[in-house]
Amino acid sequence: MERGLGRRRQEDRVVTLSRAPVEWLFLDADAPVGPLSSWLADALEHCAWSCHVVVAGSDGEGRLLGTVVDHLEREEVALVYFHLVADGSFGPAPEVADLMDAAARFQDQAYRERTGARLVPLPILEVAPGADPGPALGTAGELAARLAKPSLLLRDAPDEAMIAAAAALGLRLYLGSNTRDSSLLEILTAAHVLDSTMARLDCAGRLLDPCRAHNVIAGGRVFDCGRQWRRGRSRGGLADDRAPVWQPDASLCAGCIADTVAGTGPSMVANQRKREGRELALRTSSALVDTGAHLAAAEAAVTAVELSQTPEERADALIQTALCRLAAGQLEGADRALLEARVNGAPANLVAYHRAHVQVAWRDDIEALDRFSEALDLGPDSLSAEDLHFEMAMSHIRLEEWADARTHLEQAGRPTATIAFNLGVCDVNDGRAERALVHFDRALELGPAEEDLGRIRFFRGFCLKELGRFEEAVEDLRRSIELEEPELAHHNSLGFCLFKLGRHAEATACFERAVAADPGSAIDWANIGVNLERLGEDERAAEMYRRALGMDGRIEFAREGLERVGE
Amino acid sequence: MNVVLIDLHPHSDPVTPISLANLAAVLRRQGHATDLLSLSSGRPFSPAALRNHLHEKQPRLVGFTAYQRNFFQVRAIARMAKQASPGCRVIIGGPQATFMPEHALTDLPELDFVCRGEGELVIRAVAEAIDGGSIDDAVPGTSTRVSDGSWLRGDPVAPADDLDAYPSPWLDGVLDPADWDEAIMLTSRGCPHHCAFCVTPAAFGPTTRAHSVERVLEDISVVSRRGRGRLWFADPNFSYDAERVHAILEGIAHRGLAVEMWIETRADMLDSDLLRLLARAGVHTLALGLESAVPRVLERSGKAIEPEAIRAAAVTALAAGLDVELFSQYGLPGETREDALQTLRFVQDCGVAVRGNSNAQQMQLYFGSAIIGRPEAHGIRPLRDDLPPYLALGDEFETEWMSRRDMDEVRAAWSAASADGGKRIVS
Repeated sequence: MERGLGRRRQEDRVVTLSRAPVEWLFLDADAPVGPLSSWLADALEHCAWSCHVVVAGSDGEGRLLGTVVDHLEREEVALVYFHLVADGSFGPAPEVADLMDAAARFQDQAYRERTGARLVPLPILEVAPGADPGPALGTAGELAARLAKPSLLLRDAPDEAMIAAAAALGLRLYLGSNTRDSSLLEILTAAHVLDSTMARLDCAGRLLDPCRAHNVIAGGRVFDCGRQWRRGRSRGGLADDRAPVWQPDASLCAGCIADTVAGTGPSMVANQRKREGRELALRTSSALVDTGAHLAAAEAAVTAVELSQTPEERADALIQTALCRLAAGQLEGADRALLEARVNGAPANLVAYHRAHVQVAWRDDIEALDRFSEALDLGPDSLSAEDLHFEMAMSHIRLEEWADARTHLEQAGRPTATIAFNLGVCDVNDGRAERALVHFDRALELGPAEEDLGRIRFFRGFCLKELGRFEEAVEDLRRSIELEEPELAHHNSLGFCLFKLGRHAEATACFERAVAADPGSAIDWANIGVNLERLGEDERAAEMYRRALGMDGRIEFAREGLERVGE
Repeated sequence: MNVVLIDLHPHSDPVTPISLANLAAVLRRQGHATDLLSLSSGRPFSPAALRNHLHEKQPRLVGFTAYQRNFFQVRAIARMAKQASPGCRVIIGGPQATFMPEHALTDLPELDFVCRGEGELVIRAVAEAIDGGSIDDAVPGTSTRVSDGSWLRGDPVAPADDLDAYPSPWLDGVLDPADWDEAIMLTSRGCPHHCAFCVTPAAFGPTTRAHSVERVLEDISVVSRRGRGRLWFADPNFSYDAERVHAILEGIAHRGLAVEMWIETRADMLDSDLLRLLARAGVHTLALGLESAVPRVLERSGKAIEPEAIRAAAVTALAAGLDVELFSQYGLPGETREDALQTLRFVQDCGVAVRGNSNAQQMQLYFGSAIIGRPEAHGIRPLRDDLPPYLALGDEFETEWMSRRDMDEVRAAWSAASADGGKRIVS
């Protein structure tokens, strides 16, 4: 009973205010700081009450920090996580000291009120290429003791000692290349995409959704997200847009996440998060497969391979890589990944099974059959012997080896509509229309998928035609034409049955559709001729016979017809 | 009259605001236009949007569920509300409010009412008082700031014995199950037990009052059909009445409702038949209050249950295919560091994963518990004497048996054993 719901009005719902206020602002502080801090003062009002301000560059004279502090004093409900990049090569930088001083006031308040501090300092200490990270580590330790959450941005690849030291202090390591131009904004927005995606790891089906609401402000312009900033697509200037909004172009998100995850291996290693990173990469790969982005899925799977810590994990990730590459048509890469998976201990039968599919994609069913046989001989284990027999049957069907195909289909387990249909196909091609008809009837009884109905109807009609049951055949063939995109064979078979039933006008129309589908089908031109002749249209019939014979002079009935009606 | 009720979880994901929704249902039936705001880190809001909303609605009454953890933000938004809607009054209810000391109220100029009794009855009386103009007398069931600015304590209100007397926010459409990943249900209130750390008996009474089976099944039907069918029962002892719980579970099966349920109860209110029925009806997780694995500690805390009974129930439930959560805490009266670590080993020995609600936390001392009434009698040594009077001690204490360092070590041991970083869901 749902009393009351019928009279429910939209305004009765629980109110959530705005769906997604901006939660992260990435500021390129290399732009003129005056207009930026003025913009920030207005923008913070419209950001989430708890938001992150990330200053990628120097906060000249602390004006951005001052703006944030003013906001917090005005808005007692607000909380700001202030990320500030500072040179960490020579100990505490002055702007970090200013940040800690500002935070101290709010820490006192938090202590008094037993609540969280409303200004959370997150200094990012950058270590220049070739510089000793020791002073930065020391500074980070001191900052952590003062309730900051420091992190390090390294321009050189960290060695194991560095990784261990950072882990001991609970520091996050951001990695920036010293050989290519990786700007602070690039590094920090990529980290944001990664964190947002990681936070959704357990939310099935949402992994490729937009990340936590953010804007990027660079060069005096506002960008919806990091991706749009990299593409140079801004929403407007600071003067135009003083209330940040989150309007991500969701069509870009999957690609952005895929790129980020694919490049995350070194960062995950440096932050000792191989396990989570591998999990993320594998799930991202699966999510990308669901969207049909197989190449990107393969790249994510490669990252999972890099982050694997045991041969077993590596083998699993390699199989995923192979399947993505197979789906993307990168067949050599798929086969290589499978062989490598085997070296890492993937079950031999599984590898053989997947390699067989690579061969199928290569259209080499003879090789595919060898691989399927190998998988079967090795013992199916996690594979289903019945599935293997089915796959082998399909290869035999493609090779037109009907008896072999039938043998495997009979071992492919409990009959399904698909198995029954394929048994019918084998029998039709072996000229056993009566037996085939039984299989097609069985396929219909077993409840085939909607999209298979047309095919089954066509073959059933074809059998009936072969058996001379033309009235019934017409019914099935007409139904198949309604259910699937008709091809030449549909029109040809239907036309033949109608001819046999003496329904020459309908037959003519059918064969005309056949030649419309394939104007090079000489036999169908001749079929039109026969039917026109029966309708007494000798002149047009002669023309059709001539056209057919012009294409293929061996059509005997066309020659005879032409003799009868014209020459 | 316009009313805005605000459920605020600044540092966590949104949860069904069931308590405020109960009040909203009452107010709407009284004809008051009532907004229920759900604000949380998972449903973030901007200060400007909140201010605009309050300005547009011009509420004459704004209400909050107050907890120790959100009290700072509650006060900040209360002040914002009074600026945005001059003359509006603010009421707080919930665990932080019910037993807040009277003398603390003088430090809270942004408040006008503190709910001391059953919310459904109190909110109706408060709305009537505001509608009536100047408030010169205390409203029953509240502490009231009267027209001369002083605080007066109203007469207690007798809660309804029959909870069906209160409207259902699910059936009245205050809550739409489609809006929530998991629907919180509250089908009974009160507890006859006397655990010294718990405020439930004091807040809701020493007997259990419940909605009828039919009403519960109607609520579940709505949630099952319109929502995702995931139910989280906030009842302290879901299976306190065997006949009733059987009727609910059989009713779920009889109506063919597809639900997944989380329930909490006591180990001594379970048997193997009931466990099987729970699993069959769709209960996926059973939470049991363990608190401590040491009988001496349990006895001293007034929790009359044997740890071995909890072990037996947990093992049987796991065998029946249920996930099991064991609530536990450390820093209890009489508990040593070794006792606390024994509780961790007990949880692990039961085969219960240390994650989610099975992560232990330090005992939290809130207003209304027996311990906070006489902390020294329970061996509690406050670490601070500078807390504002409107805040309870929380975890700012050590005990005669455990120093702060001991507490930290126990926390670290639990954290190391945890499969999910040690963050408990229910505090």
